[in-house]
Amino acid sequence: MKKALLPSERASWTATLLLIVAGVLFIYPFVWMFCSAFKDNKEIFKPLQLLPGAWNLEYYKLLFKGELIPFWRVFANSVLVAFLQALGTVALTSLAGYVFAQHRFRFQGLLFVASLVVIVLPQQALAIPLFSWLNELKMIDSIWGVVLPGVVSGLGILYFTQVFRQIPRELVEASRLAGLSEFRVYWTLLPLCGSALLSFGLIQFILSWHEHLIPLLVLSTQDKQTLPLALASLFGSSLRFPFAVLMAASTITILPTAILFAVMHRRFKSSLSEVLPH
Amino acid sequence: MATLSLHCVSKKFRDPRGREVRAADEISLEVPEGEFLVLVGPSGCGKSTLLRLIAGLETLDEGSVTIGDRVVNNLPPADRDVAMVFQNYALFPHLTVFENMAFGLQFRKITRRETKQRVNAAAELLKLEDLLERKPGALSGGQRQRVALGRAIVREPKVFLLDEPLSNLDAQLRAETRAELARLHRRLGSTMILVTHDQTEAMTLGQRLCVMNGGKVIQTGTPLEIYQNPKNAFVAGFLGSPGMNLIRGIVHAGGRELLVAVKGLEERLRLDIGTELAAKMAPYLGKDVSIGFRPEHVLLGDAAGPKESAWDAALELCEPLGHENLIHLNRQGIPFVARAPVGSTFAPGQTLPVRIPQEKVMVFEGASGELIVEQMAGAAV
Repeated sequence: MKKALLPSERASWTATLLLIVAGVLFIYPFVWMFCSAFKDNKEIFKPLQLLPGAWNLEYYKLLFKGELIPFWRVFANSVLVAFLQALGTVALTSLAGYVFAQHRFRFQGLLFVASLVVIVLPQQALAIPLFSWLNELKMIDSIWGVVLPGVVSGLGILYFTQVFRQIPRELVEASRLAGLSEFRVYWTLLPLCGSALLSFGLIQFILSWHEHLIPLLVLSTQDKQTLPLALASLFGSSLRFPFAVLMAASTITILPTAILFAVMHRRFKSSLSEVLPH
Repeated sequence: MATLSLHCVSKKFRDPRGREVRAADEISLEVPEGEFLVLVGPSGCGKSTLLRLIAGLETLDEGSVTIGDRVVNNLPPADRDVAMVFQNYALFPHLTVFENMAFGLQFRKITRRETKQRVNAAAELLKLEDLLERKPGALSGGQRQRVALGRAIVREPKVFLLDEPLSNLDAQLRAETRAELARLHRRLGSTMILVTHDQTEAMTLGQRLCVMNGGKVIQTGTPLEIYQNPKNAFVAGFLGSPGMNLIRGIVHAGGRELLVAVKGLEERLRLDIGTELAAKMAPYLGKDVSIGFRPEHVLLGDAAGPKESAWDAALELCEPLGHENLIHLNRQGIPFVARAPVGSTFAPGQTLPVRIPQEKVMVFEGASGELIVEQMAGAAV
């Protein structure tokens, strides 16, 4: 006799099936992109052909030669911008979060709301004033012009305010009684937020890696461009060379963030529960 | 070691509804050098706020705090030369026991050698020598508490402030640590102020108690003084486990023999107070009072003596504590508690003769709770 499934088993099977469908839908474009880097233009535009006729590496070679775009230079720029922005955002917003969480001062509520407004304001609304400001500061066509505006994150302030609120007040007070300066108190508590710092740094790295608008506003010289800009320019001129080069460049572009996420996803959490004794 | 004095110290807060709450209300207190003072009171009475005001973790609204011969009102916590032990220990989970204990010294220009010496000495005193390389997460509650104490000791402060340091420990560990703390105070001879809401801790540890309620100091004195002569009904009911039995009533007739009418009780409570106290009681005729007596003074069964001088009360519950029994009684809806020695054969449901010796009865004013009649002579209630 066939055994009937329990309701929980049925739910589990349904969930698995749905996840498989969703997984295929999400992964397919990436697989198509990876395979297309080996195809010529004719093969790419055949709608039902996923795998290339031959695994041809010549488009990768063409990309790496740097004749179309200075690929490695642009790649290095992206790494530098994303790294500095992740570091800067984590440093600045964790410091702000510490102050909002552990201090009481005049206009605190107002300042906190103001920092949250940054989250809801669309980047496009800030583009023109930002450009004008960076121009005044002589940061146009400089990597700092891309890094510094991205360092201010309303989401980061909100996140780290919550993180530092979870730190027992007594630890802060014990530090003050021991004679630590406010910065030293913050510095002493920082290891307790290790997971949160890493998680937010990683999110910021990924956001910065994919950022298109600010680099587009600020960077004009090809040598100073970041990967999203270079890919856009490749796309714009892709009629002059095989489309597979663009796919090869896209594949290389997603690799660092994919690897970072794969390596760190287990630590990708903000909870303090690992660090604090119960 | 130093004398600590508080002069008219006040601190106001606003509660979430915006109402003003006086957490410390014109508190004046002197703690002589080397004394172990216990601040005791119910939750929210302002005792922890007072400790934080002394430490400098809260700013004073009014008054002054003097440590030694220095007024420290405007000094930051680090410059007041006090060490504090927190209820949840406040140990840094990423630092070892050694690093936690040395934490207070790193920023005080104390050489590494001296730091090591002090930490080792404190570790020996607190039996922590073998745990110095461990992290707090690998310690038991009692060990963590000792590390927190160790961190305070190595600072060699003028005043130790202990904010409910035992409340996170289980009953057995709490009793052990309590004794350890008393020994530690004897060895160090330092000025210590401990905050607690546990009156066993207060009675056993304090050389002097300071009972607080509603942001005010209600009474200070040695534990026994306060236990035997509470200033008001609040102190009488708060100190002791269980506290003093308090029965509300109205003074029905004055004179040498005071009659108190208790709501629900058919007959009047009759107290022979003598002529001297009768004069004192005269203004309270027709007014609310509380009649107070300690559970250990209630005489039960045969001990209650002749029938005519005793009440009958129903035994509702008997709580055996091992060394004694707590007997919960009820006389026509008026509940009260008595202590009885182990081996007494009382059982729930039975009716017992009860007598409260008059000389052990106290009378408090109903509205203010102030003590009116301290001691009486004469016959039975």
